[in-house]
Amino acid sequence: MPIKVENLSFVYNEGTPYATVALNNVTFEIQDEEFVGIIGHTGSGKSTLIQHLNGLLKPTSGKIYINGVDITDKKVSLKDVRKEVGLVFQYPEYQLFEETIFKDIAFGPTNLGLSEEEIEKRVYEAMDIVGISRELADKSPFEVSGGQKRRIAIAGILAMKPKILILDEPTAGLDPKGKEEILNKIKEIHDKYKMITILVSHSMEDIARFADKIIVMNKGRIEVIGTPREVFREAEKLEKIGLGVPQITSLARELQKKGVAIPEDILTIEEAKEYIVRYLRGTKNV
Amino acid sequence: MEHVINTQNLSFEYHAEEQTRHLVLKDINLQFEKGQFIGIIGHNGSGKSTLAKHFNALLLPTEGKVYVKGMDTKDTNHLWDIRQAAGLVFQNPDNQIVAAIVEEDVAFGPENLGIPPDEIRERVEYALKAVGMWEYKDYPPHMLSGGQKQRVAIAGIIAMKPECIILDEPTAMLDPIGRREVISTIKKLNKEDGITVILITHFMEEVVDADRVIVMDDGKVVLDGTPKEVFKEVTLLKKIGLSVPQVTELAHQLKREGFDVPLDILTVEEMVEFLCR
Amino acid sequence: MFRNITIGQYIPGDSVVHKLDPRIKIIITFIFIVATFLINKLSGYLFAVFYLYLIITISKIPFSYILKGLRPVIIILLLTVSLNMFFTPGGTILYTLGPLKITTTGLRLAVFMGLRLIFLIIGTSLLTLTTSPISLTDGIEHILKPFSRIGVPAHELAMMMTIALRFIPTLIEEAEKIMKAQMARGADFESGNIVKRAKGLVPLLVPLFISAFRRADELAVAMESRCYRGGQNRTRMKQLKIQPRDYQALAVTLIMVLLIVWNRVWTW
Repeated sequence: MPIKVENLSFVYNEGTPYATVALNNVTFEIQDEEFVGIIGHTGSGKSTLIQHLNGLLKPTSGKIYINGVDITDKKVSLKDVRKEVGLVFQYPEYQLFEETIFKDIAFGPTNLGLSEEEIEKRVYEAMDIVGISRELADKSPFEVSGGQKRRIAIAGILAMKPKILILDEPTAGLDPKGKEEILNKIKEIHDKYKMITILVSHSMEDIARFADKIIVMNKGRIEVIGTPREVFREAEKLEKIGLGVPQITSLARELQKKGVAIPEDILTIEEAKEYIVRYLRGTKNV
Repeated sequence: MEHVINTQNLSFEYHAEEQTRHLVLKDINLQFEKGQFIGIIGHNGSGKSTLAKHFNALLLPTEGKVYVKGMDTKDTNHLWDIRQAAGLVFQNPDNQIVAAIVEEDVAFGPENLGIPPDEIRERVEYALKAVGMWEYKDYPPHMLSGGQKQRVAIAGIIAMKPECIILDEPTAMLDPIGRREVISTIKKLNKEDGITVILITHFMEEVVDADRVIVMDDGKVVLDGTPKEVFKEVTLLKKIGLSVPQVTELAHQLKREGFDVPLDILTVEEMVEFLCR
Repeated sequence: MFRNITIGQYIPGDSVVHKLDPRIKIIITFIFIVATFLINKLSGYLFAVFYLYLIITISKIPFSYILKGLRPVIIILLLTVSLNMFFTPGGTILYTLGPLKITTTGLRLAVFMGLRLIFLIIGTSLLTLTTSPISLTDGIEHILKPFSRIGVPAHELAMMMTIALRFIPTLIEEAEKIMKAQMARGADFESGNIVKRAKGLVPLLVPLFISAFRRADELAVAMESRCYRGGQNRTRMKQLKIQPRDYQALAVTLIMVLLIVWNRVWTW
């Protein structure tokens, strides 16, 4: 279910003195099964952008095609769009409201008008995916830990079986361990179900590892778009907008400047180690 | 010399409904020197926030003692002196700003202390200038970014003229720009104004410049030393669910490959210097 | 969708009316309302109209804003007028419509009650249009302070108002966010009958309340750690100070009252 966004612009409070351009002529494409990272500061337009992808916001101008259908067309039912495009908001645990975990996860599928059996099947499946024990189904979602709450909220979207999964800062406020768990979970879900996954974050480290494609947003525009390596080669541009690259990438760049044989688009510690080991062995042998 | 904060065999129990007792803090002995920058790290649930609440008498020890500037936190006569001396900044910037105008919020603490109006005005100006928010003094808080709100919260503490400021994960909810703003503000307050800073965080990068880093796990202090001494313990840190800077991790992997790499490398510069000697 | 709501209806400005001490403004508003109730002849309203005209011109508040303030109470206004008109006995009967009779007394009373209501609303909206909610809170706190000895919780009321002012925009933003999040889960806030819509609000209201309580909890701890212990021994940075212009405004108001009293007692 490929996504195609064409010349998308969005103005908040249009026609008032407070009008602000949140998105300015944004164009990009996402292919099936891609894992895409969107990165940018608060106010860069990244949250505005993803809210357009499931019809929560209507563009001021431009088109959004999902599977070839223009969802900005008034005739398109937004309910159908939201069935296909699941959006997990920032701090999703704050939208839990039902008496039991089961009922909360069932909220989405129920709104889709599915049968009882289907709903039950989907809820348990979603709980399995995010790693919430089925025994907890009848517990209140407010009695579990913060990390579990977040996973329940994600399950609530997964139970709608979206073909496109968008997550806005899913690791916000978590400690390194919790962050690692959620990111690995998302990667696992993506690999298993092959849905398009869009991860919004302001941490390059988080995105660099998994994304096939990175979209860097700044002031409502796409600043850089490409594979992680392509994007990190633009380190200066990224630093200028205050985003920076992972520490290991900037180490590689510094070493390259000093004449060490290492590419500047290093993404992981393992990769860097390989080149540095070669370099150290080389200098020692000489 | 008198310690700013001194804990003696501090233990804290938390009673849940079903009479289960959770020992949140276990026998903690810590002394903090005046003027230092101290980082406390640990994963969620390690007890670091509970510890912070003991530093200004929001929580009282089940066993042991906590002294702030020599005052026992259990001594109710000194409660307000203690809270004035050790100010606390919390994680959520929204939920600690009381007033609908920035300068009035900064004035809130001094007003509670009964400071004369003219002096409050001076303190508010000083505090807002110290955190770089003076030009926003007439703003309503909801118009500010997360980092700006957090700096207003810090100013609110500074205006009480504390000896020491304790920040409980002040950057956890901020984006990188906000995080940088807050951290550089804290560092400045420590260096230029000589305020003792206790920064509780799970971002390792924020404490690499600290004078002292304390690592907590399961209610206990597991590591205590300079950043270099602490971050050397990569294996232990990873075991308890904390991360280390990527270059430190790299140094350890190189060591394992048999290279003679110093294990206390924390920054890109140090690594480059070592490799390109 | 909620973003354009402003609290109260304050229009920032730098006119003398805006700058008046909030305590004086509250007192003046009170005096004005009492004065309009003293009027018993149509000619008396001339003074009140002139007085309001003066304030509106000085404050530079567009007249349309003042009319806007009347719109929500139009039904109450019509109801008051018609009740008084049809159900006041006495006087000569002017018109009969089935069981309903319009008498001279009734008509007179209806006109007066209608006018009083209109002046009451214009008077108070002028107060809120020219005074920021924050200084209004300050004013109320200072006016109530002398009554705290007889048990009026002046400080607590003011603190409640301050916190409400601080958190209303935050909660509005939050409501908007939760609404969108639930819409992404297929929730529908816009269609169906009243019962269905009310039910549909549960996914919005439950998280909103939980969040409000969590905020209140955290705020209480934060206030405590900033040495908050109620109003006792508390000082305020902002001191309200009566300026010459406040006395002048008070004087003008008193002249208006005197004219109204004169009109009531001595003229026909």
